[in-house]
Amino acid sequence: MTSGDHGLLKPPRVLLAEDHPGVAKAVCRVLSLECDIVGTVADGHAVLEAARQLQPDVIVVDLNLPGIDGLEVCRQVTQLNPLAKVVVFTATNDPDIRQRAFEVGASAFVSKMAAGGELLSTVKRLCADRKEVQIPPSTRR
Amino acid sequence: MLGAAARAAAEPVRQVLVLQSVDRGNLVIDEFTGAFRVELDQRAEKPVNVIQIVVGPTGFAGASEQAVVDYIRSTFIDRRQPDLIMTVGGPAAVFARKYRRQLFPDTPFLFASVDRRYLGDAPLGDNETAVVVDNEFSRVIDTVLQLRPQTRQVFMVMGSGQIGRFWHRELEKQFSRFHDRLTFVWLDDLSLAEILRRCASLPGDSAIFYVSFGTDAAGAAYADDRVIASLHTAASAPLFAAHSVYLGAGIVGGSLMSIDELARTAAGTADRLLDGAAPASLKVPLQRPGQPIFDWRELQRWGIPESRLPPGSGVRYRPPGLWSTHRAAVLTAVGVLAVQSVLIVSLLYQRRARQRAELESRSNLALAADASRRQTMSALTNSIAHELGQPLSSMIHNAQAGRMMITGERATPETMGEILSDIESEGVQATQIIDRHRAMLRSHQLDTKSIDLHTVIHESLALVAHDMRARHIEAAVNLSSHPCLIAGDQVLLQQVLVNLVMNAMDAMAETPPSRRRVTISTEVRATDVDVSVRDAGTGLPVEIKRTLFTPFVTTKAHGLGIGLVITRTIVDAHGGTIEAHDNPEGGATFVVTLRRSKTPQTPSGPPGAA
Repeated sequence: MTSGDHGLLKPPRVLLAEDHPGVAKAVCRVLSLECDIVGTVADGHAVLEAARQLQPDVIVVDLNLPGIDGLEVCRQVTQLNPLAKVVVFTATNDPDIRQRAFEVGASAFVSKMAAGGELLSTVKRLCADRKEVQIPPSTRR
Repeated sequence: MLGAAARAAAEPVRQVLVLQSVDRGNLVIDEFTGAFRVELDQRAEKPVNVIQIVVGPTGFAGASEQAVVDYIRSTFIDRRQPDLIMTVGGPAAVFARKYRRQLFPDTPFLFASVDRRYLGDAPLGDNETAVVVDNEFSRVIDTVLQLRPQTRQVFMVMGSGQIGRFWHRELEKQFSRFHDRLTFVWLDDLSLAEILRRCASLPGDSAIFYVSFGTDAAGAAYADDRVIASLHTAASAPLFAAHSVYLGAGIVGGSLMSIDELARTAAGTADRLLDGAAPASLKVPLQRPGQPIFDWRELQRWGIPESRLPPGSGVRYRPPGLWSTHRAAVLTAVGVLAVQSVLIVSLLYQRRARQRAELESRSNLALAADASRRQTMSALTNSIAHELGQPLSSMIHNAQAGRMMITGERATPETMGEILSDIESEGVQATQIIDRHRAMLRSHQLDTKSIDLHTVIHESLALVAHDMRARHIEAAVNLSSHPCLIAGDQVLLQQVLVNLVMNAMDAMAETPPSRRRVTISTEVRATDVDVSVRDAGTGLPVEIKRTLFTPFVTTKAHGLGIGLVITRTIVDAHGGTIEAHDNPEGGATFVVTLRRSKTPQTPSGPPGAA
């Protein structure tokens, strides 16, 4: 199997980092309609561990995770797994935080209150970009 | 291991054999055992059966020790052997160590609440661990000398039984360092009536040290609470003791060993042993007396000025302030001030001269209270938005999922049913959040009911939970296992807790995140309860300590400093007291003391009573 086939044929592999169980369950329901949820975690340390082990295509990260500050998670996870796209998923609308999230490597910023399937369409859009990226076979199963 | 697992599945009730030093009546051991039992029940996930046997001389009067050992073994002859054996107090520990090889040697052993002098130098076995206390009785004498430097004689009140004889011997050795200043008079060779007569006519340079009682020289047994009550009434010199259970019963105070805390530590250790932890791996630190605490009434009675108390001392039982003794007059005055304030505020609003008016109105307490309320409201409004965000976000995404499933013709009645039921419960959760905040924001009349102080604490923490997380502060809750009913106003007491916790959070702005922790504890005594809020912040600045509860004194960069005055006022209105001290390891602790309800309650009954 080549890496290109993998990207085109398989649904996006998503890791969700959200500590509120109700929100995590609801978001999984939406994303699993068109994505493969490879894991859900509820604290900052676990995101880094799961990102290393599961090699997801997209990581959806709540900024208010316990353990490690969300922006720091964002910074480390993009260094750890440069091919993964990070979507910051948060209740805050603070433009400064939004700016800083992009500075530390986030690919998108989606409000937790966004209606109309914005999270799912953002994940799909980021993965459409991903298909053009050559993924080294050694990093993927 | 497999055998043990199968046995546990077949017989889920674990057996704890408790070997007691004395029969009921010893206040320290009774309080310890009661609190231990409640605490263990709360911690253990599976049911625990506690079998209690008194092995000290009061349990089997006249019987040989070997007969007691045989009796214990016969108790388990046709039932499951104990999963844990715990001794309480010194004599039981000495007994159990002597007969250890005959007492189920494979069962883990916990020597609880045992003074280090009872264990001596002999090391513990592999299958044994201990919660050892150092009663530091000589610190009691240090306190006597610090509070009453004129003291020349200390009258030692204790029983004549085994425990009394042990401590007479030990304390004579320990107190030798005081011999150039003090004479110790040992009363363990007298009957209780003689002790009371003697203590009624002591000279002015005397103090009384109450150790514990049991039986007197005439062979009659007395419960500690009765002895201490009689002594308190009769004595012509101040009374001292080493354990927290005697505070409020007539002792002056000092560095006291907290029995509640000791029971919690022992229950935690027992729970871990029952879960299979290796006894040798559990090294429990030596338990020592806590921060000094004093009874204000006794300080007054004996004319001891508070300036002589050691730094960081707490003072309990201070009488309520003006607000609660003259409540009607104060409420009328506050009512008048409130009306006045509303008029002033509306006038100021119309004239758009708010800034000048605020300066003028700073002397007006009602307006200041109003400012405080608005300040708290704005802080809570901020967190309500964040808190509500979670259920609302869940509802939005659940609805999206449902809609997409219908559009994609992937909806089944089961999944739609699940989604709708989640949306419903999230709606209920959002409503509860709003109700909790609304109760705090609504204007409020004093409404006294019987309330559980522990509920007040949990609700208050729920209100500030979001702020706490955002500021990387950990909340540690350490509540007494006793129920904590008081007559009070739930909303106003929540205001007190929220103020103290927010104050603690503000004090830790400069503390490294790994050390930011607010600890909320309760300590329940016979007639009252302490709620303490401890932080790891900057501590109380020297210039602020004296004026802490005066309006407009603040160390914060913003805020009016009125929160603590409102807090004090609310506590006063409940007939309680509040005080603050620096912690030895840094940070500060605020302690609110409130009276317990007289409503009869049974905190699961004294163990072993059945």
